Amino acid sequence: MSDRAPTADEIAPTPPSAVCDDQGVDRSQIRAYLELTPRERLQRASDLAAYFRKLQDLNGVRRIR
Amino acid sequence: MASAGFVDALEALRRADVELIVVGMAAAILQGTPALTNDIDIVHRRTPENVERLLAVLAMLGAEYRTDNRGIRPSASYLRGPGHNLLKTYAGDLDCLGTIDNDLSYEDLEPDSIEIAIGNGLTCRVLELSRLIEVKQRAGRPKDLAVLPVLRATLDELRQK
Repeated sequence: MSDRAPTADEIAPTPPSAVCDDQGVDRSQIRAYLELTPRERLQRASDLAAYFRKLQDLNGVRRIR
Repeated sequence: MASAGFVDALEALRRADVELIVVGMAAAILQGTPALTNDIDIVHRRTPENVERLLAVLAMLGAEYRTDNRGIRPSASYLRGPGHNLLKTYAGDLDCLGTIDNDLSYEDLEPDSIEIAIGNGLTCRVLELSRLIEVKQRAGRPKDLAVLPVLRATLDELRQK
């Protein structure tokens, strides 16, 4: 494995058009979500919300809405 | 219930037979939208009996208004009104909304809601995605407009299924 730094071309991100529709939405992510049960979807949202609340607490941010 | 989450809150509400419709981004997520939300928004039926059931669950969840740091707990009179009760609970933030979108109540929204299974033999009503898109469009705030593409794409995917 080479230890040389990658060139800009090598680390160029995939263009959004390769994964998203014309509105910038990644349809594969939606299809994956649709495979979950409603309960599983809400649980994921809940876990993420708890994580963000913890971050806000750590940063001393008080959020109302 | 120290580490409970949205699922626990919704389960507790439905186990107590609280009549409600999940609206906002939680409704979109339940229907398959991969999105983030800080809270669950519900529109509850504002009959005295239903408000009593709701209050009992809110007490169990340790609900307090998050807009005020005096630890004020919700009361029946607040929950029977058309306003928005923005609460923090052991199970995360929960907004109990008397009405949404220019005074639409539970009864107004019920025909445009669907019942979905949330596990453990329980179901809950959620505002149907196409109606939610209309509500978000009318609200017109930047945060509402920003989610419209993913809501529309989810609706499109659901219709193709």
